[in-house]
Amino acid sequence: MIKPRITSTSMAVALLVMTLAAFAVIVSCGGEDPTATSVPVQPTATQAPAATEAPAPTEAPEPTAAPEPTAAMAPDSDGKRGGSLIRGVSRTLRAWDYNTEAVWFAPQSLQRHYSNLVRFDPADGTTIIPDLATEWAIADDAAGINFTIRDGVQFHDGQGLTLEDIKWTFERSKSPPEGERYPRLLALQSITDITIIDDNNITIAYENPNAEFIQNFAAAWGIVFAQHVMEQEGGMNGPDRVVGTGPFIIDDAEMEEFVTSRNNPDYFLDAPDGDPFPYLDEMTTVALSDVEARIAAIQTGRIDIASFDPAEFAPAVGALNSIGDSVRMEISPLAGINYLSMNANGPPFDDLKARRAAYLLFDRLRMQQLESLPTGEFASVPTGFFGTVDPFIDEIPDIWEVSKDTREEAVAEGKALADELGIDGFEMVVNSRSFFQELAQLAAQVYADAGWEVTLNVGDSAANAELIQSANFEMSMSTPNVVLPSVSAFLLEQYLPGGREANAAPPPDKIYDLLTELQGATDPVDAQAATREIQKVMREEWIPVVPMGKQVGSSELVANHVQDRPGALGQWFNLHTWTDVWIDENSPRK
Amino acid sequence: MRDYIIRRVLLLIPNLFILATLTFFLARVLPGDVALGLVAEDGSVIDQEAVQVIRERLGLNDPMPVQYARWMLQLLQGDLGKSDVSDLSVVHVVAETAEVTFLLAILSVIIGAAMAIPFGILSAMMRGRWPDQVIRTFSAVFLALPNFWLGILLLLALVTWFSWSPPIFQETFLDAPVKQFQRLILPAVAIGTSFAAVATRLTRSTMLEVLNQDYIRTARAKGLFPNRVIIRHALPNAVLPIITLSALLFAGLLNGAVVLERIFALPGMGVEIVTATSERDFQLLQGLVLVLGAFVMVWMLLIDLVYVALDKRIQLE
Repeated sequence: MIKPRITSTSMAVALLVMTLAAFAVIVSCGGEDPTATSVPVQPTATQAPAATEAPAPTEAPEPTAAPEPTAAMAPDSDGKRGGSLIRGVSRTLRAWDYNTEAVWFAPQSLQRHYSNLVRFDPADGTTIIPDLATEWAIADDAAGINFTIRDGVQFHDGQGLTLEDIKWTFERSKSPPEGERYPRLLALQSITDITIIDDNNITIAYENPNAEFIQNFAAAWGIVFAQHVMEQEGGMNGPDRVVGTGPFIIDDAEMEEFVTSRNNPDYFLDAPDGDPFPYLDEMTTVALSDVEARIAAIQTGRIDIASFDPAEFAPAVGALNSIGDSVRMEISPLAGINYLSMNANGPPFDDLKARRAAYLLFDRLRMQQLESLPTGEFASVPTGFFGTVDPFIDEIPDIWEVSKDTREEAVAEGKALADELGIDGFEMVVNSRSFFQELAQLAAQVYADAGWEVTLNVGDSAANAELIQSANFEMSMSTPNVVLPSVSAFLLEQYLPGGREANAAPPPDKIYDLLTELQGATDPVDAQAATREIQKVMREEWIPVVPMGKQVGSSELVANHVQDRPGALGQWFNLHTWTDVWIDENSPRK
Repeated sequence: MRDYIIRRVLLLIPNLFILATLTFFLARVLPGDVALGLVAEDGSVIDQEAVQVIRERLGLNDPMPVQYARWMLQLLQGDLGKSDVSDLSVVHVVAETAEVTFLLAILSVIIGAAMAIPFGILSAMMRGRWPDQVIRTFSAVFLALPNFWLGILLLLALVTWFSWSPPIFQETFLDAPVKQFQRLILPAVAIGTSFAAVATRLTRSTMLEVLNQDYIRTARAKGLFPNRVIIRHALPNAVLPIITLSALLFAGLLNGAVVLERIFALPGMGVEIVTATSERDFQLLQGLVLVLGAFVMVWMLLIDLVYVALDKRIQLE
């Protein structure tokens, strides 16, 4: 046999050189890309962001008088104009009319093109401040609001805003066309009348007295549309129909991929420097569904801001710390609650005793301990039935069934009830996303400590929804992020019949009386008394769910070379107009 | 040949009918539907009434045979339907995602073959010597590594050492070929490496078999240079199994390298199919599977024709 004349060494070396050359080409073919900038890698000893306290509970606004309109921006802010900002999110929009979407990704991509009648102050996320309305007054019976609308506001297509646009918008909200639904505008269905008083005043009346109703108009979904655009043939069928009066004008967009917007030079709100908001020339939201892709993109300057779910945040921290001092992390103190939903349409939780056993055996402080960060800091706060909306949230660790001092008594009562009914566990329906699975495993551990065995039934959203809708389950885990930060809204939207918890036990009649009392209360003291009584009835006579707690930061934001009015970026989850944000001089897109 | 092609093309019709029927009914084995997928959030049902409204609008309340007949009628009219979630037509979604999927598949196969063929030949020629040992060891290692993990490692390595990551905005290959290449190269290397691990071993074993054939001995006896023996006589006969393997990989990749598409934010067909499945967007799912099925069937026909062109001993009949 003739041996080949080629030598092994020369062949191997040639192949190795070819491979290395190919890899060098891959790396070096990074042509000019306006979004690509090398960021020096500077390892630092920065620690993971500390957990912050839950938001302070807000008090109900004075129902008989309009709050004094406040300045939209503090005069001490020193925003820098120019440049563009790119934000990476795990998902963008799936519909041009984002009122048809319940998920937060939708307003996070589109709300910056619109205005509300009023909005939440970016500094705290709760105070109502002017937007299209310069002033407002809540009727004496708290069943209506008069808004005074500013003059000279223009839509992005140059047409002027009229009160007819506002009337049309909210009439459309309360009665969506056949086959459509506005899941985040259900509260607006109680609007009974919209009256244009004169050139600047419009009054919106609703069914029941509710001093907190104004929050619907400040919420992310409460935007004002241009009637002449929406009534065009095809309706909201593309980005060219995204026409509002907001600080940004949509430039280019691809559904599920990105939305690019440019500065609206005619925006009606002025910044402290006397020119209109926003500071940014351009803003883009781009979908990067994978956490590693988002981390890599922010490390290499492809994007300036990225948001992370709690389950994604921990692996991101180490890598992001390597960026250097320009990076900052914000934890959004999102209103909400994590709880276990009990199916009261069948055994065992159709029995109040079983619900009370499940409620008493769940140790909320133990859950908080299991959820704590590796540093030992608590990543969650124990909550009652109203999550972070609860005005008495700070008292939860001291109530009888939670307090360490009386915990044994509560467990003993829970076990006695369980023994009486012969219950030693249940099956829990859990969403397959890692965040939900992790929470469910911790909850199962808490019950295991009390002697109950929990079987997890993991499925995707649609599969779980079928089980829940058909009431074919015992327990499921919910983590609703409540849009309306009030106890009454919480009751109506979550627990009472017609709310999200369709399988919750029906409430005792006295709950309705107490709700009426709460909604009509003009004195905060009366409102607090009604709230306390509602909580007592819920704990002892109803128990619609088992409260677990709430993450201190429900979602986290990492920003590089981005500055803001103090507090604004901390509220990023709820606020999407991006007027109060600018990029610093070292940004790759300045 | 012409008759054979016509027969194969005609066979596509019953094949696609069977595929469409299977897709329709298998999709409905999944629990839940798009109405629930749209309103379900965080484990709760937002609005029971809304579920019924959506079901009515999309015809989900109709009996399954009625839904099936409606879809078949739609297909016969050349309408693949539209997404129940985004309202975009299946044709639009395919047009938006096909380029990424096809380019990724082509690039992966090229990279894999470019690694596998020379390394396989070298390994066969150096059988038992250190280059052979090294190549076999590495092919075993890359065979064991999941390609998505390799993709993440490549991404992290480039970020760490060169502060570079792929561009994030999707552009067409014609508009921005360099950017598109940059977006695709890392997942293509990850897939191509996994493919090369298999193909290298296959090339090696085929080459060893071919090198022991009489005609190779004859070629050498004629005094031909070894390189010419390899390239002219051995390689064309050894490469057929590699083509088969590449064709299968390509067909597999058309269905999407789902995990890598997600990691590198590539809007490909794989991600669309997974999303449509999780959202129970049956119209989109059925349309996409049908289009992909047609692609794969045509692709297999083309491969059969390539076999004939490469090896005259193969008869299509």
